[in-house]
Amino acid sequence: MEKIKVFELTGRNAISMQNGEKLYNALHSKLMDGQKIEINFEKVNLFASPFFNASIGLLLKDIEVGNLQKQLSVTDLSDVGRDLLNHVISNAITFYKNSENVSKAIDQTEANNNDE
Amino acid sequence: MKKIIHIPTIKDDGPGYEKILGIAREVFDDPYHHFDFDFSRCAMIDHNAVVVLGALARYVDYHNTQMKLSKSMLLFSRSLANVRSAPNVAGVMFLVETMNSAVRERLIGNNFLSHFSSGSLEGYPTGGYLGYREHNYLQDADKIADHLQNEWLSASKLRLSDKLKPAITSRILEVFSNAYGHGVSIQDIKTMGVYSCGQFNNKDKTLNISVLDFGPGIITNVKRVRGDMSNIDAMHWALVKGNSTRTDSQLSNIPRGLGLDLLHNFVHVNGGELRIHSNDVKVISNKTSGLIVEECSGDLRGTMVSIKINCDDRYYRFTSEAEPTQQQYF
Repeated sequence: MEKIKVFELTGRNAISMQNGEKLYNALHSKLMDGQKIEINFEKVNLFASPFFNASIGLLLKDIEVGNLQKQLSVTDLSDVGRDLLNHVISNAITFYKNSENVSKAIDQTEANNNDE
Repeated sequence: MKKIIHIPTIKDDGPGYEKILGIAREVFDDPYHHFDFDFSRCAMIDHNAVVVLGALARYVDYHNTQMKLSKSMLLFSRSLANVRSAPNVAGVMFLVETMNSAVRERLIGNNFLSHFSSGSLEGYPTGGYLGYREHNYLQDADKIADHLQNEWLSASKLRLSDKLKPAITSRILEVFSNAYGHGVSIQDIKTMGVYSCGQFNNKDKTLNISVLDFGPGIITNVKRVRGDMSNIDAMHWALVKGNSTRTDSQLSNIPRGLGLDLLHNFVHVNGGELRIHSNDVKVISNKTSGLIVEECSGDLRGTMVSIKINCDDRYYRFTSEAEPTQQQYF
């Protein structure tokens, strides 16, 4: 199983969307190919939701959560990080279930605003 | 023309927020003046007022810099003659000579006055301290995280357990992420940053922080993407888990909208308090009052989030422990 050390991508803080995108890019194609991957959070100390939204959350757009659980192994993640990760996944599942309608509504409102 | 603003006693309570937002409104409405802040009627001042005063000084600076007349500064007695004789100086002056010793010590001890001093006062803290900070308009998440973890929450008088400290840091990072993502990144005043002030109350062992930005504000952002609705409804919408105005990134397919919910849950579980003031709506959430969303008299041109956290592990649980419905995927 391939091991991705998150610290090497983000440093000790997993906070921003930009760093989340790095993890997403390292994972997406491999998971889509059906590979199993370990993501290791050793030495990563701080977490915020934008990081997980843009990484694991975004993966759920293309991958069912059950498959993600089978293919992804999460190691050395602190209790705070794990708690946050589970919240993000739960939110992402709801988001993608409703996203088509919500995105269309927001895009339409913004288009209307721009027309005015 | 010079305006004198008398700062009353301002505490971290409902009337305190009303008072400081009233002062903010007065400055917002017409910032093209020189303002003297007189503290002779102020017995004590808390973090919520300190952060607003600092941000207002920069706001006035910004507007008067465009007229090439500005410099917010601290006025203390020995520079009085020089400053008053200088023509065409517009900005803010915090009249130290009008402060009682408790107010002066607090504003030195939290490093507030050092940001506006043209001279020197003794007693400013260095390194790890709880107090007033100004954060650049370009978000540096690592810098803020390091500051919170290694300086802010490492203040010698604050004793946090290894369990509670990363949890608090994580949630405060959500506040900053919101301030930058939904405020600074899309604000009209490009160079204004994010302003924060922390305070530890030794008596009840609570940690307080207020974070302020000059972005469009939550109500304005929500109405931009959701269309016309009442201000109260707009704030309620913003508080719902998963709802987001997507102003933090052009990438529309990323799930988001967790920051306020995580913060709210954390404060709830901790038995603390969350206050949000944005545009003309305020949110108060604590054990006594529950969640209150109502209009407030002042119109804050931006967003201020203030939280009170109990620093005792007895008040600490993970939010998922408090939400048994939260599924554990990993």
